[in-house]
Amino acid sequence: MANVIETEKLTKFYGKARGIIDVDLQVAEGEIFGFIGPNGAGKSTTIRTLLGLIRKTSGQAHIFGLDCEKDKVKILADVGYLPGEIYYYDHMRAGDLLRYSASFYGKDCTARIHELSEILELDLGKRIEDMSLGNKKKVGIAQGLLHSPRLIILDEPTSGLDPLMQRAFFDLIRHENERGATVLFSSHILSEVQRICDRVAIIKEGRLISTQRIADLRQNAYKRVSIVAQAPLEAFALPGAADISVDGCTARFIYRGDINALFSALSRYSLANADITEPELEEIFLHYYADRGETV
Amino acid sequence: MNVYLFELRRSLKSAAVWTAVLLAAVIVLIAAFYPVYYNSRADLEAILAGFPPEFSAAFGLAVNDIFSFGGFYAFCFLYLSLMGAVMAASLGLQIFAREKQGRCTDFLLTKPRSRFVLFFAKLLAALTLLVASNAFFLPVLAALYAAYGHGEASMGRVVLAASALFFTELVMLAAAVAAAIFARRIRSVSGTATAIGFAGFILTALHSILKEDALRYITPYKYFDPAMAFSAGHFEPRYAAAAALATVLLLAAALTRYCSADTRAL
Repeated sequence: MANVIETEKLTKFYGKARGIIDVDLQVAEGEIFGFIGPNGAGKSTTIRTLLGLIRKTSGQAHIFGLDCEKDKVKILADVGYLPGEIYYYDHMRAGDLLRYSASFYGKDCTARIHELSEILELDLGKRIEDMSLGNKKKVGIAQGLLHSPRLIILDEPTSGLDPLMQRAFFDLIRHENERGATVLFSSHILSEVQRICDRVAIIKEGRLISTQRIADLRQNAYKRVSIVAQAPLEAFALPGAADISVDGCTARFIYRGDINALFSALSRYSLANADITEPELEEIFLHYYADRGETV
Repeated sequence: MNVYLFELRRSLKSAAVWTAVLLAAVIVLIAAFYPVYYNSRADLEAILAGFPPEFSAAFGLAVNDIFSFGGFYAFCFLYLSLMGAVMAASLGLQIFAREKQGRCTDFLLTKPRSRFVLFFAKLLAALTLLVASNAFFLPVLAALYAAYGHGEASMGRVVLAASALFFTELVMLAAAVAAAIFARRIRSVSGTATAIGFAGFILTALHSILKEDALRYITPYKYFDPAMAFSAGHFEPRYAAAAALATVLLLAAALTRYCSADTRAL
């Protein structure tokens, strides 16, 4: 399958400050590709370089086989972009903004605008500056999808959306993907990427450190576990647990492994409470790479 | 074309208001004040003779010229060009800093248009509004001359003198475009446009006081002298050339920056 996005040793420095270094990224046609990393890791720099918003320092970046700088106009005709933070022109209604956005693509997007506004429950007659963050995000989603692009680039798309709307958004992205669109989904929330993506690239401190299938990542899934026992915990140990801290009746640790084995092991204790959450991405990186004996 | 029409629509109201202010100013200054000046020549000469020469110079008062229509218009031109400059700067800043102000540069620059095309669409919109404004100003000045002039110049010269405002506005538009593109942030369009306009006014006052020829090359309101257009039928070529050069250089610098600069993330 051809790659829709392909970068080779893509590097960007802002003066002396690091942006991204030697990023090799391949996103195949038709896949939903996650791009994950902590804040400041270089996700947005990579995306902005691909979109021609910033100029690369060195390396190559291609979309649809075309050069991202030389052929920017041709590429952008088939790209929909949703930025992380949504700002639009002052004193403009959502419908006017979407019509202005559509006017760049040389096709009638009226029906699509209405379809998207219905799915997203978006009031086209409302001024954008009067909208909540979530509704502004909906305008952003609609303007990114109204021309039925072949490639959709989403930079932290779900911030500000309530859970119901997040679900509608993911359904919409899946639908676009079924239609044939390739999706690059950037996020710092692992669970969000796991929910929708086929593969994921992990970026840290400007370097791409791993590209994995989501299924493989799930097998290595980490959980942050916190338990409160009914009696003080002494010499607490558990296979697959790391970073264990015990304080009286409370134990906290990072767990990797079969979740059934975790419950089975915990059943030995008489618990007052248990809390299993998604660890911070930073924690996953630390443990995942510590396991592999690598420095991150 | 869509960007051109969008910018035209968004700035039309501002241009219309400024044009109305300019027309009102020129009508009031010439229709209301010029006949009074003209009919009170002896008294005014006595008053103006009492002013310190530097004061008169700074405000564009030349005793010998002010009683002819061309001289009076040249005196008014300093203030009209200040208004025209603020209008042109305001349009330039509005149009070229619109995305910066709305923090929506990403929106425009991820559309399938080259930055070169976007720049010229915006510039064309600003120019269209300035041309439209002057399309009202020129005939109004010609009509005022027909009503209050004393036949000292042909209508061609009147039109040339009136066009001084347009050419001055072009220079100030270029300065505003460069300011909009090079500045990291434009907090207030009206504040910045007024500052640009007054910078030109201060340079003009300085030139009038110091009488330094070299200073005139960087004094935008002195590039096109309407008094000379009235009396000689042309502008001074070296200053017109300086204006053209300044305009081209400012626009070229702005275009280069617009096409090549990284767009900062929010």
